[in-house]
Amino acid sequence: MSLKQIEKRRAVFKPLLENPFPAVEFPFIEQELQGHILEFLLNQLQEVSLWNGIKGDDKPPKPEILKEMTIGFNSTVKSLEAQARPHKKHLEKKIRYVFVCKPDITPQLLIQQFPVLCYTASRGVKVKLIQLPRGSASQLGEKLARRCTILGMFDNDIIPTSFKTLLESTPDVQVPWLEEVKLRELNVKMLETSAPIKVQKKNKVEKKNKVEKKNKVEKKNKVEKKKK
Amino acid sequence: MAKEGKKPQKQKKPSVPNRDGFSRASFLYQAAHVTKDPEVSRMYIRLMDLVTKRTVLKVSPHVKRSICKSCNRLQQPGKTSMMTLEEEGKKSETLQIECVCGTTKRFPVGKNKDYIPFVDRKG
Repeated sequence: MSLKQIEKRRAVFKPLLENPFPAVEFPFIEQELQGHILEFLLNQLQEVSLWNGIKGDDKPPKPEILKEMTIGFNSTVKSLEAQARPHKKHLEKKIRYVFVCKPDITPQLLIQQFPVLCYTASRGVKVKLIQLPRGSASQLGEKLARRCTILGMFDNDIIPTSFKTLLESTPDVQVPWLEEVKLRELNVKMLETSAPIKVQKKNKVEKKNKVEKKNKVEKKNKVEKKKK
Repeated sequence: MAKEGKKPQKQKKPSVPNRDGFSRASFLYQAAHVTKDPEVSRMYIRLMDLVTKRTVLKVSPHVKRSICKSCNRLQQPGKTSMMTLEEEGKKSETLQIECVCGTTKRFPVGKNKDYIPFVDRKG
């Protein structure tokens, strides 16, 4: 496309039906508190990293904390979904805390549904959704000896009570449009795009036509003059 | 002062053509969330889809992604849809969202990590 053509485009606003419900945000946790939670979590996983280091036949049994956790996207989502299903038998273990390394995950589409999922999964026991600070994914990965951005933890007695109270102090997940029924305002987004300017082209055509007409008239006049 | 405050607002919000169609679609979408009968909810969503087609409205991908294309169910995570991440950590990583009816939406997440849908792009 040449420069001239780009100049000729004009800004146009196209209406677009946007979701009337506001996007659900992760519960807000202060940076300091996030750091504390990460420290506690890494402390708990110390045992796991030691266990990972041991090689050979005389490997001791799995640390108990591993049995109380789901590591990775798929296993965490699976158990959350099992919890959320309405007609499900009583589950032995229920996920209580979900740790997400939010700034380390790209694109955000992956974790967009997590707040709603945690909300629907928290029947009876509320599921806490906890976001971890930037760079926590690599730290967790070192301890667990695998890439890990999402962790789930069952309701257990292994972790110390001080850690539990810290986790409990974080706010719950809130989905305002599932809690309160009311008609939301129409949300139409005006999307800015560009469109070619057709008006100028028309003018050109008209000018051309005018010139042609003039020429024709002149020719006719000439012919008539000649005849005379 | 009041006049100065008002002017830029007018420029930002040009009038919405076909406002009736938009508000009808918006109402139906919200009604589908509110009703407790899943079949009624599906009916509302289908009607909304038809309305948007008939009146030629642009619908945001965020809204479209929350609806199953074949059975018109609202995709509520945990209740009517299942998420799985295939090939986790690789470049061919795909997020798969499966409806209760069996149709799937696939998002090749690993291909372009910085991808933002055209609606959310700025400038």
